[in-house]
Amino acid sequence: MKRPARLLFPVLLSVYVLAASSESVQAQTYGSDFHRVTVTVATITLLQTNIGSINLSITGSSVIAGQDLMTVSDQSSTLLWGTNSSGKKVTVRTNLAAPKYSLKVAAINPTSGTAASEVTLSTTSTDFLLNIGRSSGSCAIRYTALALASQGTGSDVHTITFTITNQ
Amino acid sequence: MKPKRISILLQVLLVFVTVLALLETAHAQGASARQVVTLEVLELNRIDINMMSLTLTIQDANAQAGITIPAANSDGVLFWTTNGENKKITVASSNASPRFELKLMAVDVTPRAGVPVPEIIFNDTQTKDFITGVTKTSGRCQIRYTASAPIQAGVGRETYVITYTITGS
Repeated sequence: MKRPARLLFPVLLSVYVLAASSESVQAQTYGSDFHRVTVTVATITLLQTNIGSINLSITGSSVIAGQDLMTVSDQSSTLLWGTNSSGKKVTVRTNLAAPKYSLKVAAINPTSGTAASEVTLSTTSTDFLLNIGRSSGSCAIRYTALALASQGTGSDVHTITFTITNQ
Repeated sequence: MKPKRISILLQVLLVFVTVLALLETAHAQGASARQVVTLEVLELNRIDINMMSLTLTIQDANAQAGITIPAANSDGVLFWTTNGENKKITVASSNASPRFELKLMAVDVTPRAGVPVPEIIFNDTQTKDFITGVTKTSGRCQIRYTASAPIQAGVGRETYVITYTITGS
């Protein structure tokens, strides 16, 4: 056991010398410099529908004998949005100034924000979703068309525009 | 240039490019989205009746006149809807040679929903006009059946299958 004990001292000494040397290297500073990095995030608002066109057709199954009103609904499309700014809402409008039939739209089950009441589409922008600030989310878009038997046959083509705007 | 400075410069460039890309994306997609919705309404015609079967029973007679007293029933209601033009409602019986007499009349027709014809007698299987002038409308009326039987026809039972159809004029 004496031999190992005698060897221990040089080993410990070597470790101390190496550690001191390393500390000395780290402490050596020959100069420093800095610069400022600025990241600017602009207001970003994204809005998208997953389906570009929707076809609604009033068929026989939606007609009841003796009733003038005929309806059809579609909930196949989704609106997706993202905004990093607070105080935003989504509005909706149509380009069709004088539709033959009535078309309503409503936001269903929004993942953030609050759905406005179902609205009858017109060329005036109307609230669709409220309080969507700083969020990304989605909701189903439900269209409901109403036609009266007394209005006869025909068709309407709407271009629906959803817009994120300040609340 | 020191490697450390090059590294910082690259990081700054990366951040700059990322911000530019985000701004470009936001600009490209904009804050609005469009969807084209097409609504089509084809010609639709519907007709329905509220009672699948009804029974008229002649069970009294006028002894002095020597005739039976007719039985009447107005429980049935007919409904119709069409968004087409120039339609009419016709009626037909399945009984080709009835033993008794069955008559039909539309009562209380919804205003502007059509024009009822005078009382119809089912004495064959021919299709007869029941309500005419049905154009882009919905309506209803009571169906009044009147059954009568001459004394000579005796007693018995007859079944009629009455078919109402909305069709072009």
